[in-house]
Amino acid sequence: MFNSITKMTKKKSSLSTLANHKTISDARRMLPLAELKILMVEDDPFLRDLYQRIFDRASIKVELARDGEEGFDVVKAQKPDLMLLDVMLPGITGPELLSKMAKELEYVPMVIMLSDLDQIGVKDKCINLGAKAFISKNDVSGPELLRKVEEILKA
Amino acid sequence: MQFIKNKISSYIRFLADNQQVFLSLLLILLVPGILVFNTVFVVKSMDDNMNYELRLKAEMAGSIVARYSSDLLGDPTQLQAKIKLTVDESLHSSTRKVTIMVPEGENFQVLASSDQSEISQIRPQLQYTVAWHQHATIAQLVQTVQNHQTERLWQVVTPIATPTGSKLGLVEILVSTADMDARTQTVLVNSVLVLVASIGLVLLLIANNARLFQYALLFHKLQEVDKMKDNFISIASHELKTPVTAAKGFLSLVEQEKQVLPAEIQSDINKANMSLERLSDLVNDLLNVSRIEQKRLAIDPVPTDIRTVVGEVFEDLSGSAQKKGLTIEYHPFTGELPPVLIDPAKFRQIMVNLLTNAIKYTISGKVEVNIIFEDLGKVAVSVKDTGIGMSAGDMEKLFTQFYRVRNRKARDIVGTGLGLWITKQLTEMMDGKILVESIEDVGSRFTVVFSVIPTKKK
Repeated sequence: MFNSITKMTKKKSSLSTLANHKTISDARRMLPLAELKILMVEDDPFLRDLYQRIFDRASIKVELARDGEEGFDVVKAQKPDLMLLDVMLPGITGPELLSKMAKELEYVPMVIMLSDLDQIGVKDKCINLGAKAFISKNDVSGPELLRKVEEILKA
Repeated sequence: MQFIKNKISSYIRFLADNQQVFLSLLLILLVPGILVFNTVFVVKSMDDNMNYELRLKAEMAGSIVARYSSDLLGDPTQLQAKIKLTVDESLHSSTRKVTIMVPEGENFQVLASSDQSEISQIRPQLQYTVAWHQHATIAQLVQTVQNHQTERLWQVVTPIATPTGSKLGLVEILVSTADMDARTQTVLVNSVLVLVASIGLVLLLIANNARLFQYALLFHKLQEVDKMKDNFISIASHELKTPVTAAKGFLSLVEQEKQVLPAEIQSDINKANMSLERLSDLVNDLLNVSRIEQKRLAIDPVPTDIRTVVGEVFEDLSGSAQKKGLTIEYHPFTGELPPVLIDPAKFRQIMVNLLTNAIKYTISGKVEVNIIFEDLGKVAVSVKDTGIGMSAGDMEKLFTQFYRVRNRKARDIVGTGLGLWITKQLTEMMDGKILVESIEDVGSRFTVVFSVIPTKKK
């Protein structure tokens, strides 16, 4: 009986974090942003346009997904190094995408959440589901955003 | 007719919808109803009881008279004397008449009586048949009219018999209920008075309650509206954030390249940026307000050296103070300062608010930031300025939502009126206190106080 209990708890822990998944290697983490495959999931078309411009300006290539479903497909097909994920998305939300990836994929990118940090419990939930960090997208300008992303990546 | 029907059905629907109202109405009708019923019931019972007692007494008296009469039937004179004695001295004043009768043919003849005029009177058998033939005491209520006055009497007829059981005659005792009735009347009158007073009181209470009802319904409505308002602010602020972020983002892209643009266009872009900043501040403030109101704001307290955050904010904002020509100073506590349990991000918000206010409301002079620690378990941060100050009236309302000091001196100063409310809420959410002192035209000083984390002495 003990064996089955420990088996059950082991299974649970592997589902609740991305820690046991294959993810971006330490070597790749140290590369400059321009050399990494980056995916951004953002539903607002104007903001998507803006982020595209920001990355263009810095000569960094970025793939943009319009919602959680698309994001999931891109992760599955292209295995990007880094994912910038909005918390509020239509359909499947940011946190829901995190847990879906953890459940169904072998490889999961490093995820940085974009949001307002102030909602009770959201931050903890996302960290538990495997997100690396949070950036408040409203408070940072273009270059600042990139700088913060670098910081988190190399940490 | 249709109109009345409609009115009635609308009332019924109202009652069905507001069960509370219906139940209360039911109670309102029941309470006085019970009071009335109770009074009537009690008075009636008392009346019955007293009647019963009276009859009992009369029966007892009848039995006793019958007992001693059985021996004296042969001696009418002595019997008469004895009857007279009994009535005059022993029996209650309500006793109207005691009569001894013996059978005389088909009827009965009065042998002795307390009313001597009735001696030898023939009484028809009809009245006494039952008592005679049943050989039992019979009591009944009769009414007599005397001198235009109606009187109710208990007529108790008891058979006189030998010890062996042969019937000799009858004793009739007439007892008046007048005395008892008078007493009952008094009690009844008193009860009715009390009843009327109670009902009056209940009705007064009901009238008062009716108003309370209205207030309760109104209060309920207000709560609903308040919730709706909070939801609305929350949704609106969220929706507003996205286009504001986009606009700010694109404008910042322009900012990065603006050196190539003519000065006029640069200036236009700056102004657009400033307006956007204001809009962004307002949206953020509204979001914060709505989160705080709905208790959805997360506070992550960690032990923090207060000087770290204050120092940072001071660095960030001293530029804008100097641009305005103000002196700005920071006096941190130089000794060992124990940490406080605060959320650094929220505390930063508080400091930014206080410092921007100080700079905003000071035309010339100095802004000073001090950290005060006197080892009494609390650390204070004060922001002092030589600004326009405010009146006592302003200070009272200062921390309320949307309150802004409005006078000629503050005319050109922009703001949302939400900053200090948010600051106060955040401070208190971290178990701190905020104080304000101010003198008009001299300056103001805002102080936030937090308790330090007690260090366990080994």
